[in-house]
Amino acid sequence: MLIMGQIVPDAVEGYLAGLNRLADDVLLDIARAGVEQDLPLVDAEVGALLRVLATSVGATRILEIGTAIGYSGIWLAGALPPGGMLFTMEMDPERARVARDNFARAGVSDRASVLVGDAQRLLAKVAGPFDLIFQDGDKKLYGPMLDRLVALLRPGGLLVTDNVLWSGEVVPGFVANPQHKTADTSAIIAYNTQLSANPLLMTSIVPLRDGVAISVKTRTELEPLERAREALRAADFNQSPAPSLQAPASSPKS
Amino acid sequence: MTITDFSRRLRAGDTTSEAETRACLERIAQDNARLNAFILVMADEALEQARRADRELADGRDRGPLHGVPMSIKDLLDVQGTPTTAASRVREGHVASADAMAVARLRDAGAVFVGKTNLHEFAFGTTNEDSAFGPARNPFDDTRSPGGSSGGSAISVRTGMAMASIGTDTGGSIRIPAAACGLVGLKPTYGEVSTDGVVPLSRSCDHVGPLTQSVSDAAVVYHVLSGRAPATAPATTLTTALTPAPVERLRLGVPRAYFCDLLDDDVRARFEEALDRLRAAGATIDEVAIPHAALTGPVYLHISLPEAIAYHRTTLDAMPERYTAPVRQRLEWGKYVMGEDYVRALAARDVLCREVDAALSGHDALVLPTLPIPAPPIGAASIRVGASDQLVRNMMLRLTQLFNVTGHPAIALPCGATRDGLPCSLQLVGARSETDALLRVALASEAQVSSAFTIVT
Repeated sequence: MLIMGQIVPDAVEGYLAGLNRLADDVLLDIARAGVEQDLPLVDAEVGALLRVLATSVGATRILEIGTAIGYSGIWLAGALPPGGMLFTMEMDPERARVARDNFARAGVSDRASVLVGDAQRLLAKVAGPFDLIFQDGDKKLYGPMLDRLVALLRPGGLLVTDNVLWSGEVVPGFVANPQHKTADTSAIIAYNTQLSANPLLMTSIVPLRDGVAISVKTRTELEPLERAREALRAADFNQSPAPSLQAPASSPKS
Repeated sequence: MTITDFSRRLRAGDTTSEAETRACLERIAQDNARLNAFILVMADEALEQARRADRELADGRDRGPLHGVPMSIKDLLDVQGTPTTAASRVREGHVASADAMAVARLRDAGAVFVGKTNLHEFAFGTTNEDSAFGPARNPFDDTRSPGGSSGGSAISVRTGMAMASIGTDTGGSIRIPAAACGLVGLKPTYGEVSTDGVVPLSRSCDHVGPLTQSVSDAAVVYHVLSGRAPATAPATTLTTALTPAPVERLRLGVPRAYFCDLLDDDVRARFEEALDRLRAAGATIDEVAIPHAALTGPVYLHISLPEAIAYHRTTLDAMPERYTAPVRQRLEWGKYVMGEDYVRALAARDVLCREVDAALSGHDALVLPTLPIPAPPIGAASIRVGASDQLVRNMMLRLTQLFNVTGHPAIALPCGATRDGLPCSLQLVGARSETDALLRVALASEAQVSSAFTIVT
């Protein structure tokens, strides 16, 4: 799917891979299996970015859309403290089974829960807030899911979205022979606009591998509403309307 | 010139609609570049309307007190054949196919439309800073806001670009700019003036009403807007048929807690002087309480935001970049109001209604300031009030929005100026569906609190 070298030149990717000391044997094994089965896994550089980001926000609750066979999930779960939890959503039951096996191999079964089904439906059932959400599911659903994901994120939490440069095809005229479906490409272009326009998010796109958008939910933006909500919930209406402190007067009639 | 003066002089043959309309258009040509009051100037159409009004009168057809009166219309109301921009790029390409109900009534009453006035984008703000057409500027000091959202309307009336204007008021958007520009601004009882053909902000809080130079003028325009003026009034009722309430028998309630907690020093001084003048004229002023007044802001937010996002959702998703950033931000909040909190707000709204009714019981009106601060500098997010720094937005809405939540009629009256010459304003609030009674109290009060006050621009 991803055309290597299109965004970051192969030599630079190789150099980055050589410096990455975060991948372990289990991850390397799964990555090899992914290549053999032609699965769209993130690579070790994006994996390391996910772990760094999750650690930096002190994540204890992480949500992932698009488990595949659990490769990115292991990177994320590895950032969780004991008692932390990764919820990861996968449409395909067979992949979900493989992912569970891989979580067991990596020793993170106690903090990774695979939810099998349509992510749009599952999202209505999960409860926030999450410290980090990794969006790597169906590209056409990036846009429709955005509001729900932002709502599930805590202020200061991160929404990380993979494949936002889409082998460079989001740039008009950059790729001579586009390999991706037009509908997916258009969906990602629209999503990137939505991300940058969303006033609740501050977004930076890192052109690593296939492009990773990192959006932080701003802390202050919802404060007035949150204060109003607290005041409303704390209100005590038990006292009856206070009458005038003075005796009633007759209204002027002339 | 007030509508009342004009009507008399027009029929005495001392002036014509064309002459006064031309004078308004000249003021627009002279000052609009600096003050940015108008989004659209309808010079040719206005002169044509004015000449027609003059011909009709010469032919013996008198449409009543608004006959030939040059007026401006906030660019949130449809005027047939012109764009209703709502001061937003979101509305690009819109042309109104019919008049808003309020505009149709004015047209039937013979009013002349000089143009559409600038406003805070979609009426969703109180300073008129966020507009696709740039900020409108206060005629008293053009580094300051004219108030909003009906800022252009207030400027136009204050500077003689129009004899009166039509604004809308969802949290104070008629009364706030009236206060900041030294005018009378009337928000009638909820539902009395149709909002058909008006771009909605929050349907259960939206009101249409006049900004005028006097209470009499407000009464005249209100009666036409509400459809209560006869189509052809006899020349003897050119002014309002309302008489002032007898000031010596006025009983007013002042709700000091919350409403007088945070006031600019000069605003407080002018307010107390106004109360003293009313007392000196024989009015009785009682202390009253609205126990949950401090919940006004939270209740207003939880009702207005869902109503606003319900209207804006489609365009907010399709073209978010066309909104100004602050307005888009506030609209986005609407997505995060939970149903249970909306229900709490509706329950609190009932409580607030009962509390305002209770405070009004035995009183002709409540009396309080309109705006706790003088017109703020354009671009200021916070402002010093007494000993603390406060958010401008919170200050602007603080004293007006309760009566949008409850639907009680409320009117702003000029009551002097700060040491820097910026207008201060008194607010009177009446019983629901008793807008005429409130206007009678306002006529009586105006004579006491506004007479000593000469506006200099």
